Amino acid sequence: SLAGFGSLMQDVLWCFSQVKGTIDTGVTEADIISTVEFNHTGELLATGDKGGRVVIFQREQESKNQPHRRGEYNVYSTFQSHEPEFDYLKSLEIEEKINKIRWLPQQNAAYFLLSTNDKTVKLWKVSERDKRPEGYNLKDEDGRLRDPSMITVLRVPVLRPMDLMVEATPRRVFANAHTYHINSISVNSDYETYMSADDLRINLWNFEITNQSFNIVDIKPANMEELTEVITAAEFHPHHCNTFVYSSSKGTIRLCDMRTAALCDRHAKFFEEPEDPSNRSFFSEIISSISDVKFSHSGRYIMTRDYLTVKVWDLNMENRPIETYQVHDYLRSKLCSLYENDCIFDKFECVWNGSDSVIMTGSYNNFFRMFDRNTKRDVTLEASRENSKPRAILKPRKVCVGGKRRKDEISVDSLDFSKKILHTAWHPSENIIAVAATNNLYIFQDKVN
Amino acid sequence: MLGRGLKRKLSDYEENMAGLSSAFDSSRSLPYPLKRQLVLNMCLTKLQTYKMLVEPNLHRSVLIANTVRQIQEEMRQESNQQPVNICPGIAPASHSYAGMESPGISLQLPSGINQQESHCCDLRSVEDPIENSLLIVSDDDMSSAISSILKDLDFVEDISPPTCLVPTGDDQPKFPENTGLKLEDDRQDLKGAECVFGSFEISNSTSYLKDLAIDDIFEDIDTSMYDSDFCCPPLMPPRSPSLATEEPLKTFPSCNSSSANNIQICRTDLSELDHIMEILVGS
Repeated sequence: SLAGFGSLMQDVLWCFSQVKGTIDTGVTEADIISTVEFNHTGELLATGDKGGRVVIFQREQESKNQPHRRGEYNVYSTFQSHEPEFDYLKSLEIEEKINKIRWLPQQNAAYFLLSTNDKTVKLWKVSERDKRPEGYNLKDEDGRLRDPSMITVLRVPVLRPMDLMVEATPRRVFANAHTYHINSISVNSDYETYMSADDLRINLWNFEITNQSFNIVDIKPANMEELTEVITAAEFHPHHCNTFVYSSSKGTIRLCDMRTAALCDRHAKFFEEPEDPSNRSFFSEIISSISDVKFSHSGRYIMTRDYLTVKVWDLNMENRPIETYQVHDYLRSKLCSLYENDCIFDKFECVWNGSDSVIMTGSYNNFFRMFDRNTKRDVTLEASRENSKPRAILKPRKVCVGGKRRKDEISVDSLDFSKKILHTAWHPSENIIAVAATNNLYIFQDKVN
Repeated sequence: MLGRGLKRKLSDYEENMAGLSSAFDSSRSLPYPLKRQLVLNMCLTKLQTYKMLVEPNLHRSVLIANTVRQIQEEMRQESNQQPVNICPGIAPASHSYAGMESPGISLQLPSGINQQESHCCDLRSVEDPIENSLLIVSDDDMSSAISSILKDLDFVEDISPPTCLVPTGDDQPKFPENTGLKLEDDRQDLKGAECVFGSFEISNSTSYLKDLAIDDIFEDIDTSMYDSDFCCPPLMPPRSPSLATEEPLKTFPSCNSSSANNIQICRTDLSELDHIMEILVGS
């Protein structure tokens, strides 16, 4: 059922649908999910993990016989996208962890996606094969070479049906263009180019050309001791192929227009909110660092995530966001501890729903939050095995800030900071969400009435 | 990477720092200079730890360096206003933070911290151990810590980087002309193939979707024969060199020199094969 347009928070009841991954209490590091992304139709859902693998789930066709199993996602393809590498020149190990996956819009029967680790971007083609050629001249069906002297007839191989096989093949490898760690990739609306961003530079690629990239942003100072700011995320405008934004560790967003200059070091727009003096602390700058930036589907707004808040900006207003949502403000009084244990550097992502009316982001204790931009209502939900009965409705969670703790509330000090939800995804047109909780992938849907 | 003795010291230190951080967070009457000193020490410890890594995290290092700069600036302004020692309770300069150049951890571990672990609310007992443990850090120390870590992050760039097209003035980002031609040629080659493989997914859209290289069209078809070392002497003299199909014909092993009849059959077969190959490669 198509929901989303104008749907209000109180009308949507989120239910558990599926969970993927092991139940084992010990987590294998390689299984930790590092990125989640629906494709443009929502038919496919891809995850990348720390072990360099990509798993793609496909939504099954809805069947009239089992209407309650509204299009479950099942494994469609699994492949090893990146392997660990060793850079001999710098004596560095290059992690195979998949930082981001981005789908290309589908233009034929095959699916294409970009996956990247810290250094190398790869274009993968995922296609189905349900026929195979039979009747080779020189080999028999088992692949053994036939005795040439026994061959008396020349035949053309024919295609015969076979069991469906899904194969993933690397079509392009875009390597050796990033000295620093890649944090973002974004496909351009022209579908011919894409960009990859690392801490200090952004490169523009043409899908056809793997041995050249065009450097469009470079903020590396001549003297590294003068470095005070890094690039944290970047994204192309959904409709204007010449426009992109990138966020920084100082809480600023720059919008650039590639038509004005080849090297976009001068921004067209600069978004920054003046600091609130009452909230100033030693950690102000650290918590202002933007961990994710996303254009709305309409292209009129951008959303940014910093440590404690999610902000929505209107492209026409640079001096402050139009909306600010508190994700977990109760952590403001714990910043020193969170700095000490490095949690303050956790990079949470944020997503829009299909109609840009609701935004979602993760938190700790396997909590994730949704904010309805129209009604200004928000909800905290939890991804846990306890709430994982089929079609069980998720109960809103609440963190108790001080004073008396109610029965269902959890106190700040009881939060599990090792259970962080950094990556979530929202189906492009329906109320289906994918939430990555360490090594498990949860899929929730709204209740079918 | 760290010796076990150092690791144990570090984990003890981490536990102590955790206690101090909670003290920072929960206590409202902890003097500001002490809080600042605590944060500064944490920053410097982190930078020191990162320096020992082969590849420090650039993002975190910059954020921490900025925090140190912020504190440094504050302390400079204060010392300009009043020359008095900012933290009177802190141990004398002999405990000053050693330079970042020394390989091991040169920090003096906090003494007497263990007693105050669970008594964060008791401010008096908290303050004294903190004062005892926190070290004087000079302005120079802070500067050297910052520049040291940032210098480390100036990674040796690849000697021959991928050709990044250098913009000439305000040119639009363009890709070189010859690349355009290359794509053109490939597209021509594919047109013939498209007719034969109509049922495949080849479409008229962006060429990467068409499996640009010719080889890929034949992915499904076994071409290992042409790749193998096993090679019969060619029966027929080489055909006219203009044919792109010549290569496979040379190694076609079903032509056997043993009988004249076979030669005849081969000739016909080869010409048919020629014809087929011409269609397939669209020449």
